Amino acid sequence: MKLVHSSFQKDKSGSVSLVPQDGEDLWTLYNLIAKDDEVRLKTHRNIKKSPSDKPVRKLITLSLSVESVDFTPSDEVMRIKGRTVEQHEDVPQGSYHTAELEFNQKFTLYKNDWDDISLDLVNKSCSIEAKAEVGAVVLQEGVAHLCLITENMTILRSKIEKSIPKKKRGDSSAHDKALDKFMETVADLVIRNFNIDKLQVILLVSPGFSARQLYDKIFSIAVSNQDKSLIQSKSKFVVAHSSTGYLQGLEEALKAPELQKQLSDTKFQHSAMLFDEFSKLLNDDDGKAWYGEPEVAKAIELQGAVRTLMITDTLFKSDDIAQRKKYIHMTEQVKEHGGEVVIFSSLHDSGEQLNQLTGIAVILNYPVPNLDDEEE
Amino acid sequence: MGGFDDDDLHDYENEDLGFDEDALNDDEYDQLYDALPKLKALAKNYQVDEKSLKEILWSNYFSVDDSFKEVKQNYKREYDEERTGLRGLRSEGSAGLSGLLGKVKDTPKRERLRRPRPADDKQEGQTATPQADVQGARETQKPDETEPICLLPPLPATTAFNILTTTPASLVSLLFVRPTEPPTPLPAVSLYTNSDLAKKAAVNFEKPGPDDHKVETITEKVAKVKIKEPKPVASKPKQKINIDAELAKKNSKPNLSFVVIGHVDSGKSTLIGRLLYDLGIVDSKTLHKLTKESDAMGKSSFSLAWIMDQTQEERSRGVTVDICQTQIETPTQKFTIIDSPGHKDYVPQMINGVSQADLAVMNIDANSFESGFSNQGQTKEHLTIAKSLGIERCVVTINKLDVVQWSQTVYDAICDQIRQFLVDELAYDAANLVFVPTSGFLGDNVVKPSKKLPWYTGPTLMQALEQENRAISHVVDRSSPFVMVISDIQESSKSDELVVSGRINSGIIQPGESVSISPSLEVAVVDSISITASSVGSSVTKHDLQKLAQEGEFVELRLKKLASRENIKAGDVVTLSSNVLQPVKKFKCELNLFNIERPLLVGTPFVLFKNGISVPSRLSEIESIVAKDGRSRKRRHLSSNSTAVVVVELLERELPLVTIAQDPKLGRVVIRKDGRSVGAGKILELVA
Repeated sequence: MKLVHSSFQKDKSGSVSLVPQDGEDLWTLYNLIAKDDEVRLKTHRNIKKSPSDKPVRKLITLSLSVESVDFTPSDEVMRIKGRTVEQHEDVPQGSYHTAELEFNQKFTLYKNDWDDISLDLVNKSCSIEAKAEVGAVVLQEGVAHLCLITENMTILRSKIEKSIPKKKRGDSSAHDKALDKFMETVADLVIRNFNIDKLQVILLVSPGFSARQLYDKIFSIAVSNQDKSLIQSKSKFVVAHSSTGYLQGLEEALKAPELQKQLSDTKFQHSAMLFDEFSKLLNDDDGKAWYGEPEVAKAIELQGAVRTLMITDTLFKSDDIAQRKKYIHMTEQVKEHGGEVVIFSSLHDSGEQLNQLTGIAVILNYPVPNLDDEEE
Repeated sequence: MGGFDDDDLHDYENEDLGFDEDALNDDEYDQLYDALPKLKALAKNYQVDEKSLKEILWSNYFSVDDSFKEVKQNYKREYDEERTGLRGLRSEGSAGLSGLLGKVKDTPKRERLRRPRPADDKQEGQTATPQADVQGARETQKPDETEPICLLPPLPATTAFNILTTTPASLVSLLFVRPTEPPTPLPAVSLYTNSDLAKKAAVNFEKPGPDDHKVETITEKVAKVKIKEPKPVASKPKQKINIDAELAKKNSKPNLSFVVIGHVDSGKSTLIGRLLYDLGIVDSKTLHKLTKESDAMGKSSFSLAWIMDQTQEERSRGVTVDICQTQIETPTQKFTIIDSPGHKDYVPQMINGVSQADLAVMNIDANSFESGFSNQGQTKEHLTIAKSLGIERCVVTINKLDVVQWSQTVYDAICDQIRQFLVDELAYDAANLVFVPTSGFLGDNVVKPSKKLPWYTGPTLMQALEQENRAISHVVDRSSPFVMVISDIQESSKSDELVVSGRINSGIIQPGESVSISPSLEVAVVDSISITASSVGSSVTKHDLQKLAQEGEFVELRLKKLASRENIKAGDVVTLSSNVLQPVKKFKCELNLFNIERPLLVGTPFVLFKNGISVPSRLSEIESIVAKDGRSRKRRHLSSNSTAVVVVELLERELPLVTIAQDPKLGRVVIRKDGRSVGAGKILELVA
């Protein structure tokens, strides 16, 4: 995302002008834009001068007071619904309008209160560091998932399912043929669907040998098509192991030590590792891992006890400003006492799991038993 | 023309001329007149002239028997009454169609006899003397098209009767309640002849046909939809058979299905290969070829395993990847053998194998017992899964005893540890366990008793399996609903046909019955049922058509009249169309967790295994937990060895499920996460 302009007042109100560039930016904005913020942008609207006229589609600039934001990650479409806040020559004040946010189109966002979380979102998404984008294929015989993993999102690009006949004693030709066809379909899709030049790494993940077979298939196709750029990016392809070809196999593979090096410093891997550590501690049941708001709040009160606070972006998305403020206060307290705060993206598997588990959890520096006892 | 010799050309030119008596040489002439009187005597009841007989003899190399077969096939027996009857018919036929219809009604039996046999028309053109009657027979065939109206009882089930019998009421009949109309054809006949129904049929057919409905009001259309609701497929068995006799015949040779499980490289495929070879089902020619091939790849010890491991991947890697199922038949019993992979990546396939078995054969490598029995090995995991999926009997083979010099000490030590694990931790009944020392590679104690094991007095593996087959109850509850889980699908050349195979979980099925396949709820008719098996001592694989198939059998069902076969996948459940299984997305189950490293949290995704398929799912709710210390706590996570009642949500698709109360085998699930089995559950309740 590009930051074109920003101006903040002493009371923390202010506006920024941003240019979103990819789906990842839309997700950031989805988390940034809250109810009652003001958005000024160019948008299309059907306008009727008088009731009898034919409506004319016009490009106009409108300022909207936001009521809701919709985002579909797979289509990379974000819609902002709100009411106009100023009089326009064609649109009366207070009219409802839904604007679609477009890539490479400047818009301005005004907030009454720019808190740390919001500022952080803007700063991070506008940093010039290259964003890590990883392609992944999770497969097993008969089913394959093509995904794109960005900083904040795991997007399922396509899913292939094909029933493969079982091998038979004395004849397995039907099985072999169907499996070969399946691999070819997946390999073709990988070549067509992924922008391989742009991706940092392409992970091929499967139980057994399927990922290796796919790897071989992709490059046998590349050689027969004399696809030079594909052959040159051979080093980007990494074959990894998982126990299943379903999407959850991806997270399993991300935890593998051999991939950590290749994917170090990526947020999704960091959260996957953290959540795994949290689960392990929870299983040990020695009071170092807690989840749920009351337990976490109590842990934060013990100043310096919290090593890591894990919280999903969904909690900050709350329309209730008091709620949002409460969570922001929690993060600030943890940081103050030297703890780490990690915001999980709910579009990653780990974030989704944390969401199911109340959305907030902590790993402590030392065991504190009975945080869940209610009689106090 | 360079590529052809004179002979080729000659054959084509003379195709129409066929037999020419004058062209025979002396030898052939003698043979012909030697054989002719014999054939004439045999064929005296057939409408065939001498010249045709000569020709048939000539084309069968003057073999009387073969020629007579051809005569039987292509010519009709002489029946004087029939011929006169038909002649009479023909003369009336010219009088008008209405007259004909009346006549046909009276002579259905003869009509049957005169039904066209495929060879008839061809023969007419080729033989020098077409029968005088062929022409007449053809004319009388015309009324065939109108048969359904006139002939009530003896016809195969037709659309007309379906509409009557599959009334909406019987369609909505409850889950697992047999429809009021029994599957036995005998009482069904009385249903057909019921005068009320006959009247109904008559009334229904007086209504305008689908083509007459072009102009009608909306209300009429609605009414029509109602009539069409039951899909127009036959729901009756094709043939009337004596079910009791057929079942008794089947049960005289009970079938035992067993799965061979165990840690990777314990020699499961080799053991099965040895069993098949020593039973004579795989001939030495095949084995010789495999030995040559495996030698060429430097894996000569794999030749027996390659009998089951067919795919290129399996052979080059030296591991089994998927289950392989084969059926054998001894003089007194039948067995279904399922080979399963031991590698930990392929536990899903192994689970699939276990779900189709009555008994597990646990194969253990005597030489590296510890690695398989450790927590990282698959020995314990496989046994735990088998027990969780309802396998109560186990044969444990201590294999590769040749490598440990046939040591009784090693054998006894391993038996003790396994027995202790099975009895103490998995709660197996010690009486249900059999231990057999074997060497699959050398063949000791598999089929043939071994001379190298003087200290062992028990049965060979094959004897143990025969004992188990006798010990397991084969009682089939005929009133149980027909349920089969599809384990494999083969496409057919016709777009509305499909061959699905699997094991029948309960009930019985006959060709002609209509079935529903859940979760797609496609409807189809079972066209034929076949069983593939090899008999002991013969390397031929037979595909036998069945008049009936029952619980426990592995069958291939040829389905036809499918609206869209793309929707059908392995793991789908086939039931009678009167007993549709509604797929669900959530279910409540009692979950037993194994020893796990990470807890199961609300929201934790895992892979759920259920009868041969795996589906990504997640823990959606924890209702109650029985913790280790016995007190129930309200929590959002489950840790090792706990038991809880939970709600599981299927993430990608809906599945047809049954509860443990409805089916003690189908109602079980196993869950795995990150490549480890974490728990097993019993389905208590379906959540819509």
